[in-house]
Amino acid sequence: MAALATGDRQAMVRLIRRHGPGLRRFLAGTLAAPHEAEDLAQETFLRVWSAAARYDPARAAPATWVYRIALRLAIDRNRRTGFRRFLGLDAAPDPEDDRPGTEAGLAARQELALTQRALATLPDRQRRALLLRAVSGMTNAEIAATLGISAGAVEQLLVRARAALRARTKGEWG
Amino acid sequence: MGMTRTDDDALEARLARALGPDADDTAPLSQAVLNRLARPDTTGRTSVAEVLAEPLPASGLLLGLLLLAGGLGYALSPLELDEVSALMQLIGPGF
Repeated sequence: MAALATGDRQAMVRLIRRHGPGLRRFLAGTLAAPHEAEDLAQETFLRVWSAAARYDPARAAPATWVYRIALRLAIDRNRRTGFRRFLGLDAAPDPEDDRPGTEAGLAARQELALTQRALATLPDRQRRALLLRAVSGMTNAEIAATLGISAGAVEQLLVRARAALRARTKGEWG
Repeated sequence: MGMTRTDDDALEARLARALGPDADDTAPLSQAVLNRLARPDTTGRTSVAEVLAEPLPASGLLLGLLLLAGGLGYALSPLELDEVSALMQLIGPGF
């Protein structure tokens, strides 16, 4: 982070290499329009770059800080998406991907769609806690710091989220 | 039916895998971010579509203008006492 604050672009590349894949998956599970995950991941790293000088290591670990920024952006983006859908400007939730591809690619897209539908039925806090655990491997304390809740509450959210996800994907996830 | 730590880990691994490949190539993302950093203004831009997505400022301005127009119209209306009296006489005391 200190290197980022001095304008070191290689430090940004390293940060993206470390957190980029997890962040993209987190956003794909969090956004109401999952195809915007790539764009919002870019936006997150741009915010991190511009705010790096204000980063305080005593208050948050780098991963916590990055995911907190991403979460705020995702909440804001979901609000806008909801309003656009309300106005009828963005009626289609997500275009069906009917590109020809390999069988494995098709299966992966179907699994992604199934997962996103199952995640969408979870309450927001359960979904966020479970995603942070699954895609970034955060501890309860780190998830708690990211979501601004207690570690005990995180454990409860995780237990409920896992049970709900198992129920939603029963018979479809192997 | 109790779930073990291993079951939970398997579920979370499955979830993560379903949302995207594990060893994802970050080069395109890095390139896109660095390109946007190289542009003079990368944040804070709003397009016409954003105005609709953030309706409060625009609707607040519209409401303010409507109230101003209403207030001006009321203040400048040429209503005289004689006309009011004439109307009351025409319509009656129930007016």
